[in-house]
Amino acid sequence: MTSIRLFLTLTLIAIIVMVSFLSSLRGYRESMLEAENLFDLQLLEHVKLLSLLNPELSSAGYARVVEELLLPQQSDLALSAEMRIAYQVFDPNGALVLRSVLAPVTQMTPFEVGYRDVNFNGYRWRVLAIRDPEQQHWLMAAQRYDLRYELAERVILEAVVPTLLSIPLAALLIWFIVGYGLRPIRVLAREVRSREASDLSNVQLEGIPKELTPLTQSTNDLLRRLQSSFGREKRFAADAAHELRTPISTLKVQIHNLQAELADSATNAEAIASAADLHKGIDAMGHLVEQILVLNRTAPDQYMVQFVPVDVFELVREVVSAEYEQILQRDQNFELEGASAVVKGDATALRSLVVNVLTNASKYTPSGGSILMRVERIGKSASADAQVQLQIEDSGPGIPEAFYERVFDRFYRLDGDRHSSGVSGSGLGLAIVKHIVEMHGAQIALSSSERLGGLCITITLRAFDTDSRNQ
Amino acid sequence: MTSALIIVLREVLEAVLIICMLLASSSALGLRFRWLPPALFAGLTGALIYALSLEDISMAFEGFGQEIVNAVILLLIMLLLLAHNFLAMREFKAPKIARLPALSLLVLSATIAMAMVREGSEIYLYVYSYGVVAGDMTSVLAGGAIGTGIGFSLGTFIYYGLRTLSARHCLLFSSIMALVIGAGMSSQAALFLAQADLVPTSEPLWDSSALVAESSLLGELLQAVIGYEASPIATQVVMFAGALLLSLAAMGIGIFSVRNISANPGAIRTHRSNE
Repeated sequence: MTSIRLFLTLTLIAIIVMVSFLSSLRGYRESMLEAENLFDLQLLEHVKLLSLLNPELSSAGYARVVEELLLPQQSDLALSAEMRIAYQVFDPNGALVLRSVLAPVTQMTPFEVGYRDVNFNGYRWRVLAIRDPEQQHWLMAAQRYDLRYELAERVILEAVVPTLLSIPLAALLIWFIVGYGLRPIRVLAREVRSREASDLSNVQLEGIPKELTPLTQSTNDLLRRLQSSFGREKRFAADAAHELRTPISTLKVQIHNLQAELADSATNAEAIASAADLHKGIDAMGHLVEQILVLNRTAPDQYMVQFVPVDVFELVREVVSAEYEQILQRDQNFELEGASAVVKGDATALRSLVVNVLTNASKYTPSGGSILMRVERIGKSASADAQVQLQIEDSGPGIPEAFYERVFDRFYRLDGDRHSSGVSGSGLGLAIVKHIVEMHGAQIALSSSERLGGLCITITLRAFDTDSRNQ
Repeated sequence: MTSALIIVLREVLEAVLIICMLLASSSALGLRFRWLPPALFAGLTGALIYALSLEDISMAFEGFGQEIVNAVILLLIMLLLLAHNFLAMREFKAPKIARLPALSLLVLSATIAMAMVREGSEIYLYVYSYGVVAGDMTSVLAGGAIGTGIGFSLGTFIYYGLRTLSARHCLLFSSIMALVIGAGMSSQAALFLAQADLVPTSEPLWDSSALVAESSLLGELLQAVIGYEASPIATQVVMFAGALLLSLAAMGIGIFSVRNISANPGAIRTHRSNE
């Protein structure tokens, strides 16, 4: 059973067809028998009328032929007109004294009382023969069998055909009614499907049919279990990162002291180099822990959103000033284009976003390479669909298109732990960026930079109009 | 109308039984129904071509063309049902392990197309000769519609009835149905071949028309399902029994062929690891 709707429609139609067709069939057979009786009765009545005729009208040795004069010519009575009765009257000696045009000159049936099926004039006839008890005349009346059958069937089919024609209509109605009846399932599915990934609250639908209540309850149970295990996972990551901060700070102080002592003694150059590596490692670990904390704080379901107007261009300038030392160290050429463009967002989160895309570009652009940042407003001022586009391009190795989706995964790094560029990182930068983009209902797209040849990240945010704010 | 109903119902029922049984088998064999529309279309086209060229066919083989072609079609369907039983029993013995999807598709499509050719052409000829030529269209159409409706209703019940069973039991029941239907077709083919003087004709072995008359509704239904004949000749009985034995043999070979696969554990492990 792949579709409940199809199953219900087909089986219901099959039941209706079976019941109504079988009853139609039975009705047809019964009606045909009844029609036979009626026609036989008609013959009997006809013979009764014949018995009332004055026998003096006919004289022995001369058979009077009664012409058919009274028949209407209307076409709609054509079959009824053909249903004329052939009749014969014989005197007590067996001589034909009266007959209709249709009747043969010879007797239609032997002189035996009762109904009989006989052939004459090229057709099969139903004949009734009766002897008048007073005058001892033989009275015979006959009807063509094929016409009796045809007329009876025509009348009965008038009743059967509407039943047949109503089946497609019933099928259509059943299809729609079953679809309507199954609508709560679709509503429930849509409600679950349309939820935000972070929304694990109970499914609550009004007027849910009792058949779906167990399903809703199980879904809600599942959501509760999921929510609690997600909560545990998040708390663990955040708590662990937070708890790691203190020992890392202590380690940083101790390695600083160790380096100072080693520099003073100047005894072992290798030990100094190892201490420097250790320092780098501790810094990287510290950065990773900080990134995990940022990632958790910016998760859409964790973040306490406080949106205020933020000038993205200004923000980028501030971040560039703060991070310029890193760019200078790597001898990279940095360029910022654009003009003031305001969005409504969380200032801290947006700063984190810009820091991450900028440090990411700087990290993967080789020394002497170029980085270009552009902030521009798209769309008419005060229009509802005005947008602010933040674009950052670099002359680094870029990312193959097949990996565009995966680089946003947490801890995912192209080519594993160590990028082919030789740069180490936490693998959380773009995951944080994605969180912040989602939090702002913005879009992020990766492409290949046409100008610089490396990666191009385009973030599109909804513009905030300072004029409309005052309206 | 009653005669139209009985004739159409008999033909529709034969086709519907085969189609519904094979559809149920198809899903039990893990196949989708995409093969059905092309098979039905091919069958209907074949039926139309057969019906329209019946005059030429009848004249062939010294006037026995129609009997011979009918017998060939019936025997082909019987052989395809044998193949179905072989495939169904492989699946019954080792579900999902020993599937032959390409062969299954071919067998199912060909069986339905052949059944449509046979039953479709008969219905067309009946409706044409009694409805169009004899001018009794309303009666023939009404009878035909009632027969078709009852046939399709029975088909729906059979299909969903089989689908309520587990895949293995569905295949087992389908195979038993195919066994009986195939034997019935083989017996009908024997009658056609006897009419064409290609197999020996004898006096009827028995006459059960007093018990179930061929022209009665039950007789017609039995003819549709098991090829019932009130007074069969010896050849019919022999071919009926022969088809039953062949079908049982095909089922046995199906089960045995999977046993051979089971004897080679490597083959099964490979398949299971893919699941």
